[in-house]
Amino acid sequence: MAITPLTPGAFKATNSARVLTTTRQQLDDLQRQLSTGKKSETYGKLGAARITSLDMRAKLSEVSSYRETIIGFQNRAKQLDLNLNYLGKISDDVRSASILPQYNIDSSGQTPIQKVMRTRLDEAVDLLNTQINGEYLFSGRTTDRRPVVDVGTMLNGDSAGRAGVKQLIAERKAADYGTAPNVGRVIQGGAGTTATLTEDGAHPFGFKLTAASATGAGITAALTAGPPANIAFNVAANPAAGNEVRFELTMPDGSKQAIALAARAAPSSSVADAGGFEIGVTPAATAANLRASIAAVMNREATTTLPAASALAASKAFFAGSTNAPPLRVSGPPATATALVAGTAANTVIWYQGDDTSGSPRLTKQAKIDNGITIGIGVQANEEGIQRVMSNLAAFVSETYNASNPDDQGRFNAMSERIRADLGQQTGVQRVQDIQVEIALTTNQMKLADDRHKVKINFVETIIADVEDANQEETAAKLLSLQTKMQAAYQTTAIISRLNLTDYLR
Amino acid sequence: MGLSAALNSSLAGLRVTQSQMEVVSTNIANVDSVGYSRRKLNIVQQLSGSSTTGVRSAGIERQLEAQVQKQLRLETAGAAYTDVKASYAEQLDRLFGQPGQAGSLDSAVNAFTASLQALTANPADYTARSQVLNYASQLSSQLSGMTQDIQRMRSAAESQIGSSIDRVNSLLSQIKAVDTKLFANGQLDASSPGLLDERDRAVNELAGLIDIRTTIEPSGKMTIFTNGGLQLYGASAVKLTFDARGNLNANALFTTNPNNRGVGTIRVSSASGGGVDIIAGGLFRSGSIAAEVDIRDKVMVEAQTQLDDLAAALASTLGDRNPTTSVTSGANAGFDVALADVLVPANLAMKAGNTLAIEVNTPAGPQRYQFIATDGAAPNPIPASEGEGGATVIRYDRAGGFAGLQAAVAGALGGGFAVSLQPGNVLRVLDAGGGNSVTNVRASFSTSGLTGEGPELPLFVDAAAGNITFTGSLDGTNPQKRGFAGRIGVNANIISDNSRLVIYNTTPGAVTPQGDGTRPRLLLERMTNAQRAFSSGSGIGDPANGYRSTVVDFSRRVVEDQGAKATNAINIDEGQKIVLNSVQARFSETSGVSIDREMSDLVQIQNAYSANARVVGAIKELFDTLLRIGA
Repeated sequence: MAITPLTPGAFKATNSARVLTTTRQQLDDLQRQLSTGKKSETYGKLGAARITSLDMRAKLSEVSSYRETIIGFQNRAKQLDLNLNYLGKISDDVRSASILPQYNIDSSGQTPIQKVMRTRLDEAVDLLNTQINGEYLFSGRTTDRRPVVDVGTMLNGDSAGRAGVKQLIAERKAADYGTAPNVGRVIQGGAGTTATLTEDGAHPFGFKLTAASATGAGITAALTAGPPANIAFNVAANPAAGNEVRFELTMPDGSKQAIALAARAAPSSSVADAGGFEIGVTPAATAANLRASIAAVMNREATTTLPAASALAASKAFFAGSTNAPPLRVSGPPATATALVAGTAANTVIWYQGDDTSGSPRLTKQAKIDNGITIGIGVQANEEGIQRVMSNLAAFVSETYNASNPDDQGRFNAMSERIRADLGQQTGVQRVQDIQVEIALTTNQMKLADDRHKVKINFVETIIADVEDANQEETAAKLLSLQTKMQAAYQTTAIISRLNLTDYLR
Repeated sequence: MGLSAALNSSLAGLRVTQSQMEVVSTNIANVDSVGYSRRKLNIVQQLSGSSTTGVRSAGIERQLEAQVQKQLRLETAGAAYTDVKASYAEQLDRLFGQPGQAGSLDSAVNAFTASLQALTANPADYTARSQVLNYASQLSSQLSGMTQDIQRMRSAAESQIGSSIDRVNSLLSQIKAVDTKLFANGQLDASSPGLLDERDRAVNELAGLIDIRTTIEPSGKMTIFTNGGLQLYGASAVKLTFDARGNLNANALFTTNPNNRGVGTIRVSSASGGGVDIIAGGLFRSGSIAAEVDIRDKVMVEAQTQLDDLAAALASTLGDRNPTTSVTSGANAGFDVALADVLVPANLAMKAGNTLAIEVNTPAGPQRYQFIATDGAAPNPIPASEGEGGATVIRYDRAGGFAGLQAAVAGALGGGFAVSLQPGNVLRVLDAGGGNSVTNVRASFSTSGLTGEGPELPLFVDAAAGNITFTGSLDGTNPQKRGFAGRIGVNANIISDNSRLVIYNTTPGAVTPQGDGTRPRLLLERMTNAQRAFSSGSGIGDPANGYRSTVVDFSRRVVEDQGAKATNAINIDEGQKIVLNSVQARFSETSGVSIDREMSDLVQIQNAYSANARVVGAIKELFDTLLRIGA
């Protein structure tokens, strides 16, 4: 209201008019409060409560944004849970198929269950390539990169000459097998009363000799740990029937195979086989039989357990690979190879294309859901648990068998046995279910935070309403009393304005 | 006494009552006239020798209390001052928007922060990224819109000062014109209450514009001084000039140096030219002109400074690196600061305007130093208001390089500390024992690119100056911060490629993945959690220790501060209006025309007239009787 020049004569009239205008303004403001429900249109007029309003508004915005984050993350967690659940089911299915393996080979060289599992592999890859809001769920931070290559490329390699699982398995098998007669990269030797087994070099391939012993008094066993390790059996005197020569082979996948060859009294069904050896006339003859028996058992293991173990080892190496750490492959001609070398993106299929630089996959997707609470629900397809399912599944479906080869059933069984063990519960080893549990715990944490936020929003909104909102009853009451006051003022003003001496002078 | 004498007396009575009637009618006619004061005809007896021979009028007198009039002028000036201030304060208050509504400053800040939170959760999400940019540009346009409004209000105040000065000049010449008439015969013409009223009216209006003191000399001459001591009117009227400027911007400020002055100033024009600078001299202390000057040079400038501080904090909190790490060497502890530029290691990372703050504890108590870099053109020394409150501000010329900075820090800290330059141009600040300790070292080095310099991101830049990085440079005529709120904008390079909100490294082999949350988390953390020291020039917090808070918190303090100031101005104005009102009421009691009073006077006058006429009639009858006797 600007300052108007003073008119002394009309002061009373203008003053009462001014008072009336001011009251009228108050009335209008109360009316605005009633219709908008807000005490004030500006921060200034909120008075000292403006700081509460500002702080609470900020709090409200913060908590609301936490809630929005939580809602988004809950959807993601739900999707992850579904996918992981399904992956876990696939893992269980592979395992149960391995518990009672049905060895019935068709013309393609595979069992029906292998073919079923091939489709499960497709499913698994599909699950790992799931997108939500255009982001790949299992790719860590590289949400724009499809994490897993398709199954065909994964198994068979691609037209650019990159090797797939099958080629890696074949290479590994060849490297582990070596050349006959020294199968499994172990040289069988000995003469006279001795029989020896010697690893053909210090390398990761073939059987590893890890234990040797003999029962009874006749035969002595000696293990030189190496590498290369060797075992020497010496038939000092003929053993008694039933005495055993024992040694242990450690397979490329780390599994151990204990071999026991029992001495049999002559005459027996055969001089020597993979089960035992005949006691000869002299210790040297017995030793010759023992050598033959060792050769038989080595041959058997090299065509059954060894290729199964090689396949798994190669598959595991393949699935351990990622863009920054390509898989380890056999270096040089396999049969004489002495080292593993990392493949390159140019010669080996890298099955996992996603993020592999983060320490913990969970931290690849994190968000603050409350003051001081940051959760992570990132998942990578190359996590140990998922790798384990994929590598076993891929090894299982990659193998082909020949019905006419008597060793192949043994190889099939050896494979099944390994898959059963590997996918079972193991201490200190992550399984798909463990990832699922971690996600579920986070989901629970989000739910608790969300519940807190709901309470907080409620509380904050109450305070904001207290500060900013006009109390309807109070405003109405004020309006009413102001109305009465104004009516009185108007009437009085009207009466006084009529009260003029001029009117009474007639 | 004879009949003729009686007749004369009655005729004089009739004449006087006629004059009285004239005064009453003038009073009634002027009941609504501005500046009209009630008049009264003084009636005295007509003396002839020692005997009363009738009645005569002794002149018309204005009903006026000089003391109340003086007070009225004083309060008018005060009320005009508070009124102008309140009306601008109210406008300024509205500028910050309605509580909780879109368009208020705090909701723009909150929305931007919330969009950052959403981005941390979904860094790869295109929508989340564009939302951040969307809210960032809303925030920046809010700031620049408010800057425009503030500068528009300053321009309005400027042109208002101009027209007020014109009015002052015309009022002064009016007063002079009236005085010329009043003193037409060389002395005060007392018979002209109308002229006196006219002069008072002009003076009263002048009192609303400028706080004035008037003195009336015994001769009736009036002199007018401002309370600041400037004579406006005496022997002659002074002429005031105002060199108004056009549209003001944040860089147009008042200084006493006429070459740098960006706004107009009021001068007394005198024959010798030049004249006194009234604003510089503070010669107007109240009245609407003083309020407009205050609005233009203080209130709005402070509001602008606060917005600039907020804008600068937004730009540097998101874009500045703090490459300090704590280090211990034997028994001594302190900090390492990597001084080399990340992209060009041979260069100093501390750009012009960047700061290095060092807080130490000595046996004599805590000390704070703030080094502010310059390319040589910054004022020397840099005013303390540019630095954090309570810190010793030290100007550092970047030409000195790494070694120069080490020497400068060593020189400032003194013997209690060991300041050295480690390989790779790392500045090491250690205590040298003896009760000294290094409490904290904070660097604020701007990043300019979007990638390769770490997760910090210059999201807000000096857009109007051509998308250049905000470093807070003090070089040049105007510091970069001044008016920055009006120029702030979202970095055009990020708008054209919003993936840069996430990707901070493009080195092959170490490319930031699309879903990496490092950069969004840092931005959110810097907005909501990182404490910043604000310059002592913002008027928020205690100037001795400065104000430390998060950017988000500071934005709320700005709104709060301006809201409180608006309320305060309005409250003061209401108080002043009440004072003015009561003085006006007192003044009107004496000087105001009351119709009732005039009417009762009229009745009296009518009675007196008819009584006099009756006497004349009686004398006539007496004469008739006498004449009949003679016939």
